[in-house]
Amino acid sequence: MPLWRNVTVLKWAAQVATVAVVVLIFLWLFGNFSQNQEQGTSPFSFRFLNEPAGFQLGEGYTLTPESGAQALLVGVVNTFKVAFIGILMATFLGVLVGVSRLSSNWLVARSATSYVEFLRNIPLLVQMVFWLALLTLLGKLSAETGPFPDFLFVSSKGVAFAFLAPGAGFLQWLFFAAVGILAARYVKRWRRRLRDETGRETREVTWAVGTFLVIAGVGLAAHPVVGPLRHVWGALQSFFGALSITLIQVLFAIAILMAAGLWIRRFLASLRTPAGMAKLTDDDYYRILFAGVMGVVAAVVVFTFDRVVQTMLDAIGNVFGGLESAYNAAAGMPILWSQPTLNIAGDQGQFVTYGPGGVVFTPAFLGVFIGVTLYTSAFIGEAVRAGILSVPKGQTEAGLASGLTRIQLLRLVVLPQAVRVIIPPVGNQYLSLAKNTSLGIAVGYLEIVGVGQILAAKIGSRASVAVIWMGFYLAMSLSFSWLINWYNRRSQIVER
Amino acid sequence: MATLGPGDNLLSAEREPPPQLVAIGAFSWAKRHLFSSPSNAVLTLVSLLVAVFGVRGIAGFVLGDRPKWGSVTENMRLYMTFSYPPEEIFRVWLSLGIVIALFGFTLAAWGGQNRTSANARATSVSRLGGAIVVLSVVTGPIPMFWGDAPLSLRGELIGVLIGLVLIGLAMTYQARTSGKPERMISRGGILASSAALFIAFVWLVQVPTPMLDADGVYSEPVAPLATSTTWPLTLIAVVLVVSFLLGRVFVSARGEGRLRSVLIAAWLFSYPLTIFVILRAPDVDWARVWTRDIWVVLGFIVGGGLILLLVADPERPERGRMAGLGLIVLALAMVWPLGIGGLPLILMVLAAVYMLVSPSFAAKGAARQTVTTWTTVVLIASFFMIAMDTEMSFTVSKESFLGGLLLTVVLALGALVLAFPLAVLVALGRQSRMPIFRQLSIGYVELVRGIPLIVWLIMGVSLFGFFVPRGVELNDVLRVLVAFTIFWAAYLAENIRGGLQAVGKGQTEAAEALGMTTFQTTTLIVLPQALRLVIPPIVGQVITSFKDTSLVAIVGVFELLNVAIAAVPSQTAPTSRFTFIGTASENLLFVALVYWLFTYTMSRSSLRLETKLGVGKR
Repeated sequence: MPLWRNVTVLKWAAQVATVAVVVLIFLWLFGNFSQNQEQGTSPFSFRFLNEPAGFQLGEGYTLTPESGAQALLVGVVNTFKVAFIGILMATFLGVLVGVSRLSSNWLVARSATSYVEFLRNIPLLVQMVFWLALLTLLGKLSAETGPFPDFLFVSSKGVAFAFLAPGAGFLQWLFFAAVGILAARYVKRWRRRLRDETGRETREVTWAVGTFLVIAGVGLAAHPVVGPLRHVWGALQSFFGALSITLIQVLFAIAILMAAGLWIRRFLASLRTPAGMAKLTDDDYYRILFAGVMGVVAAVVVFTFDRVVQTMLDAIGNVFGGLESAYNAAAGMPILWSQPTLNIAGDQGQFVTYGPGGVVFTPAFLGVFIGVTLYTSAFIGEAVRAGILSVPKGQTEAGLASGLTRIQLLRLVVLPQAVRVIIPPVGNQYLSLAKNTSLGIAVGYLEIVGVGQILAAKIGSRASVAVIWMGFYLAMSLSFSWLINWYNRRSQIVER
Repeated sequence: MATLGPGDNLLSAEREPPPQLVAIGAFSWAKRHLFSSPSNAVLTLVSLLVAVFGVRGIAGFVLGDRPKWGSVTENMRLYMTFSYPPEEIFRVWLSLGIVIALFGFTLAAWGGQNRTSANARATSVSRLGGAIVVLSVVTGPIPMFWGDAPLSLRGELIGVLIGLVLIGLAMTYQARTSGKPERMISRGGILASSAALFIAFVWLVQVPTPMLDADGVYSEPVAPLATSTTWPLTLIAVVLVVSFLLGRVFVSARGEGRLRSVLIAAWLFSYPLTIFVILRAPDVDWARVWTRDIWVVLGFIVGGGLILLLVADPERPERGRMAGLGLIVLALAMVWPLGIGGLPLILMVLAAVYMLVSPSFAAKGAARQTVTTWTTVVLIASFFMIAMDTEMSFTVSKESFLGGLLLTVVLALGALVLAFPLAVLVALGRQSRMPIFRQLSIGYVELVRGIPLIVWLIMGVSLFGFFVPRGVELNDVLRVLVAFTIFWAAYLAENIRGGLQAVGKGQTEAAEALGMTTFQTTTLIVLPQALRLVIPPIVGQVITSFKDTSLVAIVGVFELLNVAIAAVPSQTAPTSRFTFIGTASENLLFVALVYWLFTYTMSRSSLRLETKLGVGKR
């Protein structure tokens, strides 16, 4: 057979040609890029990460970031903050709406349907801008604006309310909380084993929660006890500080090569039949070759990125350093009750802003938060409805026939079966909520894209910031979808 | 039993008759659905209060006592076309007319039976009436059409009355015909009467029209629409009815199949035709066309045709492939070192692709057909290339001649049409057994979907310029179009992959057993079945894309949303007749309504399409 009619050769030639074309396109793009960079004024670099930021932020755990990296970190924390609270609220509303849509009450079902049809058919951005416009119409902030002065303020400057806040001893208490969670896990397993052995109701959840609460409660008073752990944190910090980069790189490279080797071994093992080794096709040889080459390439790449390894090591060291300084014996209460405060400036006290106390939600935050929450809740509601409808009607009828009340039926029969159908789409909704917070840039919320835009304007180049955006969102999406897949696998094993 | 109409077939006549509507009084209905138990009654009252006062409260709070709806009506042209020159606006109407005419033909070709049950129509009329009543009560403070008295009860009462009259008419009709044989009415009649109602509405409706009196005090008396709007709208309504009737005549004379294939081509053709020829109005340099372009086109038709006659032989596929590869090399040589771009380069690439695939499709002894198709392809491509490569015949004040709702629609459709072929390739790659193709496709999809659209748009607008050679200038609209295309291709690919997975393995095996090549199996057996399965999710994607176009407001392109949040609220004297600062809420509500109407209509029709295709029912 001539070479140009050999299917295997053709297939691999086509693939290699495609890779070559893709690589060529990228080379061309980057060639243009570096040429344009040289002629431009702002070269592509990540130096701004270490340089002083030189601007103030309107929102975040620190308003005066020391470096570009810290400014971006503020953005990341803001992204997670609005995403986290948004996910909690959207889940609550979504479940409510999904269940309401199936209500036997016509008005409730119709209202829920209108809610869904209305919210999911209007672009999220329009909704966000609308909520922001609404918030700016709220009253002016002053010491008398309530509705409950000292506990809750609602004004055009946003919303502030009293809430628990971490105190000086919080990190020490966190140790107790971690121990409490481990102990609760253990107690839960023990109670479950007991139930399986004796057949008695053992109230495993009550026991587990109780264990956690007792240990966490003890920790509230006893947290200075773990103060001496600071020596351990200090030792860890100096350990990570002393590690040589080359050693880490060698370890990484070995791990990559071993992973490639393991893949090849598994691949060969999967081809093994009871009758012995299956004959390897040309395709299989190409595959093994490709895996090996990719492993070597990845190992080489690790050595060219010593700066990244160094940053990782520094970050780990910094975490332990922070822990060491937080674990001193004189630390105060772990958890405080914090009330909103007001800063009053101007001659007649006409410039009023929220002080550091309490929890403050700025209008920009609220615009993003209300927007993504309501928008996503409509989609979650649909997923919940579909999940509940997926439970066969016979289940409901059987449950009612055996004398369960409606609530019991929902809690014990319908929801446990529906949850398995609901979780995957809802997980994807969570992910898109987290990504949708990036629209906060339109209402001035300083999440990572917003902070990045400020940085880009300052350094005059958007390319390096864009790389950081891409890295952040990719890491977030990939780990999230990994989590969803993991849950799917787990729930499927339970399912028989 | 209904008598058989001409559009009915035996199958539908043999179906079981639908269950009879049991007439129940309003009170017993309410008792059963709203007040079946004390707790249910409380729930009903609470949700009623929340719905009415919640929505009314928010709307009243946002709009205040005197909403300036004039800021919306005065700027309607901005909303629809933004910077398109008013004196050339007939081009927009013409494009809309073409689309509407195609829509009328499509209704005729795909509308199914020509007759529909009068009873079912009556039910939808009473539903419409109910919706009008509810909307008037809930959204009381948002009167659009009664100008000066925003918070009075007048607007709500009119709405409630119209709704009740509609319900009453429909219910009376149903009560009088219940028990009698079902009456069928023709779709053409419904369409014609709807069009008549629409025309009457257009001519009779009065909208708030902003005015300044001698002292410069702003007021909003109601006034009829300008005749420059009413006449085109009337014509378009007539065009819809006429094209539908013509389509029905054609269908009854020649059958549906022929009209359908013509229509698919016409829809595909209409997009570039309206945008690049009608709206963009190229100032064609005929001297250049006759002296240069015509020879290029003729050369490609003749030369390509001759080569095709030689190489398009299904029994010797390597000939076509070799010719294709040769032409690719030639095209590359044209890029560098020859430096020839424009029409010849595009045609060369087209020829290369055509050569590569020709052996798979050219039937033996059908060389004439192959050459005819090639000629058509070259003619169409050159037509649009020349149109695109020519200056506009008028100047636009802004960067692009597209804007407003027009741009929203063009972006959504254009990017999806461009993304579709890419998405098919990626989906095929992801399903492929060849590992590198698969990994590349997976990498592309995950990379694109992992990063939010707004990041892609920002990068598209601000970084795109860095990645192309110096001297290549693209305006922002084209840049966001590229970004959208890249982004949506990944999402579409995932939809299409679902369809590919659903096509049974037996299909591929049977095709291979018949001796088809992989390429033929994919394009002739697998893809047609897979694409039919994924029409509903693709409509879902169209809806999402339509909503997502609003994001370009963030990067400063003036589509629908940006007109509302940037253009209108910044209008002040002396550049503008009126000052519309602080009218964000009115304009946002209007924009929300426009988006909602589009997306809701699309999602309803996608549901109907799903039922019609019977997807998921086998």
